[in-house]
Amino acid sequence: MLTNFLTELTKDLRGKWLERLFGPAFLFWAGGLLLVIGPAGLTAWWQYLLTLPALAQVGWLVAALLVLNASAAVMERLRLPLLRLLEGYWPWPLRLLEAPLIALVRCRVQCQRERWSALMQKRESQSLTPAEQMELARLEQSLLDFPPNLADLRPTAVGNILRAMERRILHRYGLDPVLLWPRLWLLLPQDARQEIAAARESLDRLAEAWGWGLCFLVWAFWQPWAVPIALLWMLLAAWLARSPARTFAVLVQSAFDLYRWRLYEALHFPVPEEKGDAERAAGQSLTRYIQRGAP
Amino acid sequence: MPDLSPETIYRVFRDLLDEAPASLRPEIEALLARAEAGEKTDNQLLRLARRDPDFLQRVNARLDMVGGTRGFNGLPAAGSPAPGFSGLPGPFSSTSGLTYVCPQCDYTRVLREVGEDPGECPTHHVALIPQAQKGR
Repeated sequence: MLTNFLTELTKDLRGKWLERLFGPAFLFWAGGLLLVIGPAGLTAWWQYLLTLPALAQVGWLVAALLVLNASAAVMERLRLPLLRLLEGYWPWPLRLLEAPLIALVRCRVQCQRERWSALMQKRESQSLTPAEQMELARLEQSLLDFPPNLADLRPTAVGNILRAMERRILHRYGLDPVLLWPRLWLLLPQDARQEIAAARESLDRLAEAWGWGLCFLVWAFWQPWAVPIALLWMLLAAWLARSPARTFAVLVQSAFDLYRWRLYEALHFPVPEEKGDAERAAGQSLTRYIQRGAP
Repeated sequence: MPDLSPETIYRVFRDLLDEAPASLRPEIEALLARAEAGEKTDNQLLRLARRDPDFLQRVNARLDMVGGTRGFNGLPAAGSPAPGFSGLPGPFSSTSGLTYVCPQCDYTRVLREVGEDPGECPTHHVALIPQAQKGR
């Protein structure tokens, strides 16, 4: 009985403890303490700790581990709101930054689209040079990260990658992925779900790491150096989050490309036989049925 | 290493229930129902799967996959036999785009995909139309 209990208790514990001991939570606490107390203060505190009786030392160690674990657990619960912040859905007053940042992104995307269009037109009449072919491929890849309609742009890279996926599904199939994702998820094969869950987990972890960077700003009350460190941390996490965001987006879009028929079948809607406008109308009808209860 | 905890075994059998041979399905359902009631039936389920080699192979493959899926950052755990999805490193090819033209002149713009706003002609300030519509 006790063995079973301990087995259950320690299942996956090693991995979790290692992650929490050496993950962003540890960096937050260790980095913050180092900034606030300073290396000399930390050494003095360590020396003081060594003079304490063994029981007190163990007590301190347990307390430190508990704080580390509790804060990591709280942060895990905040992954979704953190991801939304990383996507650029900001509360006031940060919302004031949205418009200028989106204007910068719009300008860049418009230039890239103009260039892509020029290269495509040139390709129709004459062959492109190798450099132009590479440029076209680069633009093709880069423009994937932005929603088709520039009115849907977000102020952050991760926000644009995820928004592009959401809007692409809506424009192509008339299906609202945000609304329909839970339904499609239940209809996906287990293998597909595992792949998508792994990609999402990866993205969530980086959103969490970004959140720890945001929290690091707290140390600025005691040490102004915390501000550049926190900003660098957040920028690095946001930059790293682009890759798992792309993987997650491409997998979700692929799930709709391949399995959207299952939605129609499961909800006893006629499966659209034609692509284009007819399918978009059917998709809008299905979306409306889920949202409003009427087709 | 596959994860052979009872919960994983129950989950795998639940997932594969539709693929189980019809002769085994009622017994699997009964054992899963007993498991849900708190009884430990994982070993019985595995013994049952041995009766059909094909099904046993599918169970083993699924258990291997469950045991070796995610490590830190969603990447495969060390020694995992089932790495997750990652895109191909090569460049994209460009299929033909959606061509929009000015109804009054030769101004042309190629759009990458459905949903993009074609915009208007910079000279005549009229909305661009799909090329196929201009000849009508």
